Amino acid sequence: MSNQLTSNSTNRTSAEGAVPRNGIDSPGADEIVLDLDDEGIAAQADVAWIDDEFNKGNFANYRGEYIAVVGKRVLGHDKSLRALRENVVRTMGFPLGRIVTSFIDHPVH
Amino acid sequence: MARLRLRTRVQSEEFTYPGTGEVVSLPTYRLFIGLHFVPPTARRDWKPTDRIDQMRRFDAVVDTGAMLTNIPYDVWEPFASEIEWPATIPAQNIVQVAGTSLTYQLGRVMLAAIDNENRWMEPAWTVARCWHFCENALPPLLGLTSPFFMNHRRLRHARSTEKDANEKLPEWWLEDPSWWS
Repeated sequence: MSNQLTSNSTNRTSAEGAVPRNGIDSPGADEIVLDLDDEGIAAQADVAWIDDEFNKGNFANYRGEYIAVVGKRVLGHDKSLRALRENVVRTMGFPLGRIVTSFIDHPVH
Repeated sequence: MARLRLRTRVQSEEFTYPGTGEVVSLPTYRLFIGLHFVPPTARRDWKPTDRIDQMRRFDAVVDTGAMLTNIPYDVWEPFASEIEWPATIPAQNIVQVAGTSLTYQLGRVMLAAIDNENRWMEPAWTVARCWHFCENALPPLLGLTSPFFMNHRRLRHARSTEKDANEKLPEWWLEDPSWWS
């Protein structure tokens, strides 16, 4: 098992470009940073976009539902994640592995 | 040391002062983490090569009061064969939530984590309530006292200036000091 913990320098990259903004110590080269392709980066941007839009209050209409996002566009929403995915695949043609989904929760009570 | 940034979602809630009836809007913050199903047979250093399979990724609230993780049916069902179902635990358990009977099966699930800046944290086990199908089941959450956070993993809040506090969301990190290069 111990050999599985051994770092391979090609598998780890530094945190360059992702340095925290407000001064927390950076562990630097030990961070595991994925080397994603353009499609992977686009999906990651969709995840960040969902958080930004949520924090602007723009998803209040979807509370209690999952939303599906591709290319920073909400393609659908449904209480059932399975039904939502199936609908987006059927109507939009995106592959399942590309459709970013997230649950939009109700406010804390 | 491996680490990743936890995501913050903020919602405004209206609060009414009992005496005056004055209504104010208060922000409430929730920490979110991106989780990723990993087959239990994968090596500990397994990670995606070029993109995240969005079927395997889901967002979860980091629940400071929970020993167990919650995973809704539609999220875990495609990966049921990768979940360990302890034979000694009944296949159906019932819990009452807000007057509704919800059924679940306890499962041992291997999850990795990812943040929005492509940082990855290697997989770890967690024990999850895998909800049976129900539209009113609890949303995904990761219990802070679940095994996922054991082995020296810790949450850390980045210090911020007073000016930052007014302009930025709280900044939290998940760190794993046991991961050495």
